[in-house]
Amino acid sequence: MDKFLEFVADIMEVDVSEISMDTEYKEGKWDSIMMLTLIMEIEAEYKVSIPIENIGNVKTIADLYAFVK
Amino acid sequence: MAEIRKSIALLSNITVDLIVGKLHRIYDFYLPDGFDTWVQEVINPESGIYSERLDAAVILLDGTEARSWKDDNEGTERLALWKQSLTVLTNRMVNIPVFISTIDIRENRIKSLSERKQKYDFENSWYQFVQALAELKSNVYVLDIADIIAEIGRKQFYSNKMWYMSSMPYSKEGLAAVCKEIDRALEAAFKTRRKIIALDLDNTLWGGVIGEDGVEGIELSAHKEGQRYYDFQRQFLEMKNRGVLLAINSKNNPEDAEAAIQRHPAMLIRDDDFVSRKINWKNKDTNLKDMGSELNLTEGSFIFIDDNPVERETVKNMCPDILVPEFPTDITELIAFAEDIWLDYCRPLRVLGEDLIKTQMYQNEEKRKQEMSKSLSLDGYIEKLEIVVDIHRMRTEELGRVAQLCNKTNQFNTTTKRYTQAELEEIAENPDKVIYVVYASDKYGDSGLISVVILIGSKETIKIDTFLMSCRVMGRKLEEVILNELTAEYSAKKKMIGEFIPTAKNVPVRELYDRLGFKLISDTNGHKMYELDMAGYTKKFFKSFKEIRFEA
Repeated sequence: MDKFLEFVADIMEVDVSEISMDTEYKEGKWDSIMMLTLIMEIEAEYKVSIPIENIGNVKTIADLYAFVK
Repeated sequence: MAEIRKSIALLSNITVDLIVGKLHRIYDFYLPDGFDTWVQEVINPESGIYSERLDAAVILLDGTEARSWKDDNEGTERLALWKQSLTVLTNRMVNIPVFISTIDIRENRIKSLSERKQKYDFENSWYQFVQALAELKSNVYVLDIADIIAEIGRKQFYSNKMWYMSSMPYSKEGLAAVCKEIDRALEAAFKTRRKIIALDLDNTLWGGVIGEDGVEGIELSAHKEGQRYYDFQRQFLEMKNRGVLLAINSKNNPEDAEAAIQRHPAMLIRDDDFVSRKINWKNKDTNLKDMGSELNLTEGSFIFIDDNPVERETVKNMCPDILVPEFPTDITELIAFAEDIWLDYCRPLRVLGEDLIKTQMYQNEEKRKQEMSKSLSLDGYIEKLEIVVDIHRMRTEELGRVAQLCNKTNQFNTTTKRYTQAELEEIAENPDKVIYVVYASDKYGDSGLISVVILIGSKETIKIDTFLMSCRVMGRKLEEVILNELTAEYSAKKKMIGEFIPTAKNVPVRELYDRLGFKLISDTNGHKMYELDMAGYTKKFFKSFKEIRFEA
């Protein structure tokens, strides 16, 4: 879980202390472009395919983490 | 000195936010508002791309939309519109580099085995169009994205998910590759290119050790395993033919190594392809430093290639400005290794006639130096060189070289004004201004167009706006000859005005006008103005020169 947060913080170019599993979409640097980058990076790093219809339901970083668990 | 960030217009028929996201740390971007609005942006003369301060424009066109073209006519019309738009753009945008992409047309693949595929015609006609523009316009270049896609392969390059989610069809890998190509193109425009590659021999240009294996024993051939080195050599030969200088830096007995260089049947790079050969037992960093001073090249001009990590580490430590790339452990990848070096550090926007014979020019310079060491005086040396000078007004076909000199001459450059080709054209057409070019040749060879003088006339004065000279002909009194001719030509004017604007690099001309007999009028923080009283000037005769031609 910590490793995932570090991974996300790296992509967002923020310190890991600035985000948590509860960080919400549209908060801080997490805009729609960042969402695309996150999906792209998560799919490549964790070798998963995230269905488009599920992406619309992402509200927090925990929701992203659910894709890789 | 902090580098000034470059501002890039990025025009595209896809969403480019992710590209900007990856490159924003290096460049500032100007984007038109809205999705796929680049055509309107280009057509409208009031648009931001024509009023913003920009350093380059990139037009990135993607062929994914071809999947939804209802028929071939729609595709034909679409490409025609794009071509018209780019004709408008390149007619208006003449002062900054414009990069236009090639296209991979992704037409619908539901086709029989015998149906015509229009995509080949589309792609080819688009390529022909962009290439023709690049040949016609000096500031237009081809951004070959289609080639990048072919290298990576469509399945890897594209992502349908990204396309449906964001109107940007690249995968992570595709996005990275496009960003890299854009960055490489911009670096070719804005970063100084490395000029010389110094190569090791054993296990670098051939396999094995010449001192132990002998000419017959080293691995180097036109087929099979030895071809790895043969192909590697060809890469450097291709670079040499595009203006990169080659040198050898090897620890060996010179006679062993020379035997291979001159006699091995599969040796592609021969002795006259190198500007310097350091084959000895000295430290490699010492050899590189010696090469630099002999050829008048800075450490920052060098790339050093060696398979031996110890040698690489030493050179990196002793000469931090020399670029020392890691050598591939898999020798079958040597071609790609050389290609990356070329793309990252050497590839120029354009190869000019001067670049084709650069190696030969440096070799001639070496012979001149030997002549100089035998001469007792500068005049004696000049006389022995049998120099012929030709000064005339710039002709249209010389514009490219003049622009190149204006933009890269740092040392002998009185005002360092970086005129673009379009600006130089304007100057040439202005009746009050004139551009003179100077050619020099001697018994060792032709140095080509080596000096540019831009003059601005008024009723009573003639001002030297720009006076620059290639550093390879400095120290031969050419500046005296040039000024002598120009002063005679403009003797009807009262005064000739000289200007010196100091930079970090133009120290060699700081006292130029003092040496040429001008009077210092003002000095503001090193920015100096000079005057030469024309009434008191009588034309000199330079007897040590073989011939001086002047054509007004």
